[in-house]
Amino acid sequence: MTAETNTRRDFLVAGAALAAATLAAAPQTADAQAAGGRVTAHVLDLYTGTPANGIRIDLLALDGSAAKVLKSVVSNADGRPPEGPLLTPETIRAGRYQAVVFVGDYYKKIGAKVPSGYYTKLILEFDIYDPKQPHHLPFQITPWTQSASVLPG
Amino acid sequence: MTTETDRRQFIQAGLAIGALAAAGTATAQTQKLPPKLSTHALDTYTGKQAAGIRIDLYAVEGDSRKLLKTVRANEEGRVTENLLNENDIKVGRYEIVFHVAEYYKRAGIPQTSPEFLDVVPIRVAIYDATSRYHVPLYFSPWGFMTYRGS
Repeated sequence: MTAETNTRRDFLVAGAALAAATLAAAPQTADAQAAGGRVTAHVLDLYTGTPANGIRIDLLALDGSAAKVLKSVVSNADGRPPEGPLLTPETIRAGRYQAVVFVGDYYKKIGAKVPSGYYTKLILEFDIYDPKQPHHLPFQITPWTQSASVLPG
Repeated sequence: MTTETDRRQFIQAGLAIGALAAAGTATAQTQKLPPKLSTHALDTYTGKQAAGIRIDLYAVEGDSRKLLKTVRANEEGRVTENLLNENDIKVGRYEIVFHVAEYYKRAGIPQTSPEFLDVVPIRVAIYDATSRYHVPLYFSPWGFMTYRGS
């Protein structure tokens, strides 16, 4: 590890922190505001090149060390929760949440060639600071990689 | 280091298998709707949809490319009329060029000189002109990602 790499990493970390701070203050579009507060999810399987059909997604509310499962759904053929948003204008509250995507179970189920016993979950912890805003959680997965985002809209 | 190398080779093998699997599958749901090539530009630096970003679409033929259209994303970071629709989608290889540095310049975000990322070209193939292709770009001044969405 060279000094140069260290500096670059520090810079990237600073950039990420800055981005997070900016994200918290980011204004939303008029369209997004009109749509109302919600949490939606979408899982794209980059191993098969299709939406992840039949993958379990849990949404938990965190309160200190306690976690409460708010929703546990299994995605449809479009990779989305079949009954619409995980949280709606009626149920969304400010607070800390965890979205859990059961990646290992899914790949086992579809018969992906992964080592026996191989298992992994994607866990995204995030805050809802403004329950009037839409929050979209797209996930991109392969048996070996996971990507998660909290996006407006 | 051997372990690391082995793991990399395994990952590459896994991805190759994934690519093969991708070629043979598409959901029934996506095939009922009209074909399209669409995109969605998301700025992961400010956490916003990349309103107004310039996007060029080229048809790629061998070593050359032909500009088909230049568009700007709408307020949602999407191309309102899609990049290709039922009437003009054809099998072939395409290049979608996102003008990232120009976007950040317009947004007043400080960048290095010259900018680390200038334009981000993404090459994708339409291999079945009856299917729907969604190619989003998540980007910051320092990195980007894309995938086949839905």
